[in-house]
Amino acid sequence: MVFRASKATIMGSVLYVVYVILWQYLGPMFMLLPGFQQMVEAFVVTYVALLVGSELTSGTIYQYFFNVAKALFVIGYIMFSLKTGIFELPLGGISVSVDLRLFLIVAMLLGLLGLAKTILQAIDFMSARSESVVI
Amino acid sequence: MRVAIRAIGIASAVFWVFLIIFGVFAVLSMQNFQMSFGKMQTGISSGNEVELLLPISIANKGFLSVGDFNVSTRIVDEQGSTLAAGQTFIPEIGAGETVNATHQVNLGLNEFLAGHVRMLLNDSELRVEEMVGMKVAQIVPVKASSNFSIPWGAPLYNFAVGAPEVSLSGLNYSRIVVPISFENHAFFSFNGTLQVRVYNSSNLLVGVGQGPVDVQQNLVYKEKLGIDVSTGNATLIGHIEVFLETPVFSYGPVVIPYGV
Repeated sequence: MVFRASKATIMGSVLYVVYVILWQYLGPMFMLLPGFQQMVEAFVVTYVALLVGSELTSGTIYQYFFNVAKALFVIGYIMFSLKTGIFELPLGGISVSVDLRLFLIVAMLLGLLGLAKTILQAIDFMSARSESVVI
Repeated sequence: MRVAIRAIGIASAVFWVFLIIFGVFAVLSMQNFQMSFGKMQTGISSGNEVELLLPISIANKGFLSVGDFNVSTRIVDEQGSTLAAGQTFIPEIGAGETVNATHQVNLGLNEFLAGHVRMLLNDSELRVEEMVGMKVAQIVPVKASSNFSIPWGAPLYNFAVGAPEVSLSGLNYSRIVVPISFENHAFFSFNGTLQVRVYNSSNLLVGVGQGPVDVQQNLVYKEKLGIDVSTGNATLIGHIEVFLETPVFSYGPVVIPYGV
């Protein structure tokens, strides 16, 4: 249990440090987008929480519940934040639009891939467990 | 199955890392993308169109190339009708490259002013719709658009034909002097010919006079045009018609009665 807690803490901390470092470079540009920083922080905090929950319950079936929740959260958050995939931003008298539909499709496919992997892992875990019970 | 799960996991991780790195590089690249506009120049083309020439300098100091770079301009009148349109297209601007181009919009004044005669005589505003588009790394379309107004100065602002003055210039001829004035508020200079036709009370053409017109921007034209009319057909009452012909537009007839 201590090992699992330590691993969860380390992984959560590493992820948060990566976010802070990336924000140092990208943050100034995205300051023009209202609410963007809060959106990213909410995503990072929730993802780290689910990651920590997954690591704390590793070795049990509940790990896969957290992993499925994490995969669905990523898919849902991408859909919620990007909506149609065309991002419009008014900057004074200029309207800037960025078409992120390709990015959205790729991210959604990767999210579904992660979900499929988690489901396969859960199936593998249950089959390995039932084999060990039989033995 | 564990091999397949591991392979999916590795592939997923690699693609996520690639996607995030690409996103970061794209954002950093756009931060170093600079575009600047020079001073707009105007001219008259050989086809009697007004050319609006705007120098553009594009410096792609980012990491990724930019494709399908295009600048589009559309000039519309108050009713939203398109008066002129122009587009500049650059297929690719590589990373670290600087490209200079001239964005050109041609305004066919003859067609424009034929359908908008009041623009010859009245100052107004034209709406300009500007759009700049590009594809970052040839993949992500980015577009910036803006609407703004530009003032339109009438080339024949305050066009006025004064009361003709009739006087005898000999036994057989009368002289009719027509004062004509206007202000050129347009952004271009023009030259042409001012023609005056004199008609008697029976609508017969009794005399024609013409004079050159050469008016620079923001200058006033104020002249008196004299026409010699044969007294045989001349009458005390009649009307005159004033025409202005230039390579870029025509105006007239302005009908002014005399002797009334």
